[in-house]
Amino acid sequence: MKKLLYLLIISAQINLSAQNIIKGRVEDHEGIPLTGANVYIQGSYEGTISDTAGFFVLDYKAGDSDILVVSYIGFETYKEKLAQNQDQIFRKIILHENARLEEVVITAGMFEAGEKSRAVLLNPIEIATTASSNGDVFGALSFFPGVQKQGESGEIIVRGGDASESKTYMDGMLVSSPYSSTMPDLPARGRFSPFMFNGVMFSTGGYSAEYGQALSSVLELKTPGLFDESLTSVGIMNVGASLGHTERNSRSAYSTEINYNNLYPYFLMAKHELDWIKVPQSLGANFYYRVKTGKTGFLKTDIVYNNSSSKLDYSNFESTINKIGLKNQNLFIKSNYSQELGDNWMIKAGIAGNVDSDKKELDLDKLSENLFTLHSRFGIAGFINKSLTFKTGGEVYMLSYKFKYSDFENNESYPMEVQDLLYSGYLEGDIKMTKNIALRVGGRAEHTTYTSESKVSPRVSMAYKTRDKSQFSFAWGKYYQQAQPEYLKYTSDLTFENAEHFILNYQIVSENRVFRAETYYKTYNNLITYDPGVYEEFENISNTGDGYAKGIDLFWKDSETFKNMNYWISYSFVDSKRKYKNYPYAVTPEFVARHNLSLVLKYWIETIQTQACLTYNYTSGRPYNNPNLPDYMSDKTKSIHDLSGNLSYITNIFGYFTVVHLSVSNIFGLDKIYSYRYSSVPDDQGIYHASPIKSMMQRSIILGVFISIK
Amino acid sequence: MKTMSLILALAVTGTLAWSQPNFEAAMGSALADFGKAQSLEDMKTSAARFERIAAAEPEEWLPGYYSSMIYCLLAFKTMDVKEKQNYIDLAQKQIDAALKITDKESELHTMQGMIYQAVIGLDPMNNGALYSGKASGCFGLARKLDPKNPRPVYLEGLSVLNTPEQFGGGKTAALPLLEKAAGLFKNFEPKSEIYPNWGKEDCEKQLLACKPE
Repeated sequence: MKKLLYLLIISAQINLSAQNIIKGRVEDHEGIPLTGANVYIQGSYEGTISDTAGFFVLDYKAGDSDILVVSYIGFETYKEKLAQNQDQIFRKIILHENARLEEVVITAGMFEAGEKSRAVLLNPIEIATTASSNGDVFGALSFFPGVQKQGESGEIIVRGGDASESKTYMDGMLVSSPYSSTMPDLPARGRFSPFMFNGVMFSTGGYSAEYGQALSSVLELKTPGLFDESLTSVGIMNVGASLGHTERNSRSAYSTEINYNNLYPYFLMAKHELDWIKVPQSLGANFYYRVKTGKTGFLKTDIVYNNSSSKLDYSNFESTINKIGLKNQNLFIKSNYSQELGDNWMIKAGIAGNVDSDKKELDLDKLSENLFTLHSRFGIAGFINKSLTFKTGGEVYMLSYKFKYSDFENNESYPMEVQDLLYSGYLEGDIKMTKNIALRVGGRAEHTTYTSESKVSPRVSMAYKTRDKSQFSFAWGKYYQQAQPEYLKYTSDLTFENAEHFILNYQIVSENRVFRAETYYKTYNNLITYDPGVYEEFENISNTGDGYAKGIDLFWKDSETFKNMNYWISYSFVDSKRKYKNYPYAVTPEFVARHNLSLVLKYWIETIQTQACLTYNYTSGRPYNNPNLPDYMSDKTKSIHDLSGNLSYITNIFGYFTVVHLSVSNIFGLDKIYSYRYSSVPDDQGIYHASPIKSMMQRSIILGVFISIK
Repeated sequence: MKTMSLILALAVTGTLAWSQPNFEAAMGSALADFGKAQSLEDMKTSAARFERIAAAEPEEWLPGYYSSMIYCLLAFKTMDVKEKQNYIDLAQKQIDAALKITDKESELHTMQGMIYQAVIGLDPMNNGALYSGKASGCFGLARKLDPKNPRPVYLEGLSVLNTPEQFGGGKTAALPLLEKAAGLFKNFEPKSEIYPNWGKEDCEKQLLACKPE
């Protein structure tokens, strides 16, 4: 206390103290002078800036505990405690660059896009306007390297892993049913509009210990904070309509939207081979609310509801069922809270519930599937110092799956269910070893009650910056995933499927160009195997499968070379074999195409205020099992080409900002055969007959008008 | 103990008030100097000065506002893309800090909108769509927080004026906004000498240019 009083008395003498002068020069670590650096005494108004040669002269009233501050944007602030009786030495002040664009960041397997990240690879608007994706997030992801879209299901296949190996999160919360529910062989879409997000993190492997229960990939969709502006939006399309309103206040904001889709006009215009009894239609309602609490607290709540139905006549196809009816209801509710605790700590908490109810009519039989998941998580991030940060947290994931098959003929029903609770915890540290080397070490522990199993998965990744804009990254990790409910409903005597990833990545990023090359090797173990059952779908389900996937992914994006044009090219090669499901031995699975090439080209036509986008996609043939051949899975489909385009014309209607959008998929109407389905019994000559699984629509056209009213 | 800390607190404030030139006076003199600024160098000096006052006064949003404004003006004035980006970063850093002090101040949201406009200027093709929405959102919020503040209306009018007619911009579309802003400017009284009070003459000039002959 005495000391403090003494200090006070001393500081009260500031005015009486003598003038003092500090002279010096501000430069960076290479000796290049920094012009305009702010030079001053901490807490005082007086100061100066460095001149064009970096020189400064600071004239100040000397105090007892003066601290000299030199600050310059993009550089770390320099602070120096000055001795009471300053000598007149000339100071050479060297500022060190802030770790920013030049920072070494771990990038193996990782694609990140957002408003703030400078090395933007893709932003959500680019995703939404990618032709042939028709505004579907997953559709747009298929233009990323390592990703292949499964035409018949609409789901994404990442690096030789099947669709169930990819998990989707929204702000860290699991979305257990990210795809819309559809008829067999008809592509599903993502349930969420890309306009809901302002950032995307997509990892095709080697991801952090924060994520678990995914063998192949993690897609993290990031929703915005307080929405930008208050407006009302109206959309009218040939497939539906939407109406939304957003209200922004200084500390809170909400946005709400209702949408109705009916594919009747779409099927009227497109050439197709479908015999609808009831054309797909859906009704959706969304509500998003954000509020700031206190100084740093932030709460986000999102509610997304969707209801869809359709009925199809299948009698023309190689199928035992003639008519399939489908009704689906899906509700996703999530809430996230984050708050800073002091300068160095941050807490995050979230809870998300997802209810998905699927009711199918198979001629007179009925099949119902109800999935309810509840995910809650809590995490802490700490910034120990400039070179060490860590994350830790825990999650509880509850799953309730109810399945019921009602046989009309025998008037019997077969209910089955799975109730699982999965606990997990993670700890991960990010260490900056030197300016050029970053290391991330972490682990994740998981325990499930249904199959009563516990596993620990270690993860390590590192990055080494070779030059200003280029770096190598490496990632290794073990990944575990609980078997799908469709198997768990028959038995709890299963263990986690697992995969091990090795990834090596090289990338060179400048402001407007990105080149990445990545090679990987994945091994799979404990994959689910079964025998096709006589009475039940699967028999003898066990974890005796294994496999591998290896390949190389290339990506090039350029928005600099040609004026008003930006384009990107992805190429992926994958070599994968696995023994799983009912495969008699290890073969390349039916969903894997060895070569994938895609090109996205966007051009802004200034004279007519129109953005044009062309996409081309090539997928090499996929294997399929032809029972007429001696070897399993030894036949191959023809390769698939797709050229799609869209135009967005920007104009105004009654003074309101308007976008008129036309999009055409598969412009040339080329046949796309994804696989073949064979009859289960041969004919008199012993030949099995096949019907192709192909794109049901040759060419599709979407036309829409979107108006923003302020 | 309580009285002791109270005495201490008083002593500290007393000391500060005595040892530092008065905040209002410092702001007044910094503003006066900025008014005399001729060159880009003068502007940089002014911006740095406000930055220092902001650093010394963590509870006051005005110094951060002015330094942000000057950096933003510098971003508009300079042609070099890298330098532009640098000024935008500086302006954004200052406004971020000021918005942490209060997020209910209409002027601060107006300034944030102006920075977003500078971001559009950086790369109109890629930033245009996203940041024009953000800017207009800021002006909308600024108007909501203080319906009497002429500056967000003026800046919005200016941005409409600079938008091509095919996009719903142009003179005719900007006219009602600029007229409204001019009316608000007429009745505007700043809270004190050091509060924002700029844009009136420019607004009138633009209005004159917009009016049909």
